[in-house]
Amino acid sequence: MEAIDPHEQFTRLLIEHEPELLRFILVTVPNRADARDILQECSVALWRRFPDYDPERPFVAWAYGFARLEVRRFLRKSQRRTQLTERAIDLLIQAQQQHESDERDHHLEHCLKTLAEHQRKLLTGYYHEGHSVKELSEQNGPTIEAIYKSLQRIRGALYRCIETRMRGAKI
Amino acid sequence: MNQLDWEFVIGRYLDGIATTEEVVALSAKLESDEHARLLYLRLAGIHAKLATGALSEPTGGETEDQLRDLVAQLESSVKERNALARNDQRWPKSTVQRLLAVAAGIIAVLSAGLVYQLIFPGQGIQEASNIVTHRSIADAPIARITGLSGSLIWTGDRGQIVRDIKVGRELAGGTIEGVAPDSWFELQFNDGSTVMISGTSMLTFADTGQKTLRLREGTFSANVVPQPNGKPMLVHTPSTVLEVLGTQFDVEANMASTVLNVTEGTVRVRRLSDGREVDVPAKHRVIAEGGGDLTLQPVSESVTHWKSQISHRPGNYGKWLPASQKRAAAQKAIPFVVRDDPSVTLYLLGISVSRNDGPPVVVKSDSLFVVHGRLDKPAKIHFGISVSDVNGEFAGKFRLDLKSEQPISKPDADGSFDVVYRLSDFTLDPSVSNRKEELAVSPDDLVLNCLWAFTHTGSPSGLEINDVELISPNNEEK
Repeated sequence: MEAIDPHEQFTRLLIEHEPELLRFILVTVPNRADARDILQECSVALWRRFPDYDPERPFVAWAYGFARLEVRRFLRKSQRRTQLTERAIDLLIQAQQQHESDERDHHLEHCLKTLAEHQRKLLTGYYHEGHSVKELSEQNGPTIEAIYKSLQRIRGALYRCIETRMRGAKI
Repeated sequence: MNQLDWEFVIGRYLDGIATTEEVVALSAKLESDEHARLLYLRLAGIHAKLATGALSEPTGGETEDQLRDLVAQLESSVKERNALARNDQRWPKSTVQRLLAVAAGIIAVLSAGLVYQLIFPGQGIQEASNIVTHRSIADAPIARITGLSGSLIWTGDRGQIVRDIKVGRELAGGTIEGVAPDSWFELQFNDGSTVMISGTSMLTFADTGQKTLRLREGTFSANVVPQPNGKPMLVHTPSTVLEVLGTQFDVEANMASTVLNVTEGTVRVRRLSDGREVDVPAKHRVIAEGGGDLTLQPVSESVTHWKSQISHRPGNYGKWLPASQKRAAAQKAIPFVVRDDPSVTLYLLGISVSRNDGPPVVVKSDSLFVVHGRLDKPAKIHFGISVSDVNGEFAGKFRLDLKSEQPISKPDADGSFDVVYRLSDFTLDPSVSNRKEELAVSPDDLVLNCLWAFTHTGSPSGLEINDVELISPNNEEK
């Protein structure tokens, strides 16, 4: 049987699981540019250790170990004042490992459809098109503070919608 | 601060606008309060999902072409580094600059990480290696979880009880228990043989050169690759021992009887009470109970009509109320505490479609479930089914109430209600959506294994089901 080229195998696995890894990082490092930096560091580490990877084991579980390290390394390096403590981050990472997300993702898709058009537009501008809040303020008129509040309210509404559906949906 | 205040602070942190004081307070709260951590993870999870493509295609990561280019660059850079290491040379500045230039052309942010890793190659890697090689469950795994959904409890061979089990986890043996009618679990042994339980079942498994399983109760199916000579897979039930050399079959067992259906190959059954044995070939079944016959029966054609037998047999979840002079037999919903949110209590009942009674029951696209029951008060009844394909392999769980809003069932003056559910309204249960490519798109033409119903009204609803009838108007048996 022809052996699978490790280069191709790694590429496939990274392509398949990169969004999950980025999501994993974004939970503890919410700044998207920082999270992408960490993801790059993580990709380098994964590639270099790929000869040790056991294909019988789930790739993403293996990769999370590296992502956790890169998150910790990043936080130690950056030492920002507006950053959670290392202990808080460690506890979040531990809890994150037990946090099921598949069903919540499903409900999020439904809950997004219940948003008003202007709310969806704001999320699209901020998250999908990558505009800063300042840019959105300049484009659409509301103050920067008002846009931050709207983002908060929309995420809060999505959270409550998901919780309601989770309670009604699960045995 | 209350939950809303913490929601506000977490939101500001996610947007990068929290003040130093707010972050200090949030850190302290997260360090001390498990509920605050859960709230943070759920809000941050929404933020992360939105940032990586919930609104449309992903924006957070790289495109496939960019990733392929990235991997090619990584590969060549590591080869180059290894060559230099063999020659005991330091990285020449020009190499770093070239790498930086190439990487910048692909993704600007790659370069810093790459250079850092190249200059400090050992940092962090040992720690990662320790993490990934650590086995927290057991020393010598014999099998891996390949699928699960619903509430399950795994008890390891050292008595370790785990509720939060996940696909991919390796196990060295133990007992898996489905605790709800919609529970489902699939395990793959190292040799590729797969076994599966569904509903409220309990299975113990071990492999010490010979696979040995014990089905205490419930429904179990297996697809077994050829086993070593003289070491067949042994499946113990309360009333029988099955010897399996390599085949496909399903078993339903309780304290009093065992029903075996063989799809492929041959399974030898030995009844414990009298030692009698019979070889069950493909497309045959045997029912072992008490001292009756142990005769082979050909597996009959499927039927599309089924009626529950609650007056004769309890369901598989809930409290069974036998018939009395005043009322018909019923299966009554009992409290079920949701594992992920202990503040939520559902009132749940389950009814299995036993193979004891005859041929497999197949649902058709025009099938209807006619349900007769009782309620103490008007309530929305959430109704679901579990189906398998004809050889017993799990094919999915389907729910009625997800496609459209489920109407509230209103009891009449004496508390009874009648309701009809159409199969065409059933959709795949979200708890198995991560395997939707492997599961059926709809339950049409699949074998009905069990059904369940629950209410979520915040207090007991008094839900009871007296009987359920499955009919298929266009496929009625002649």
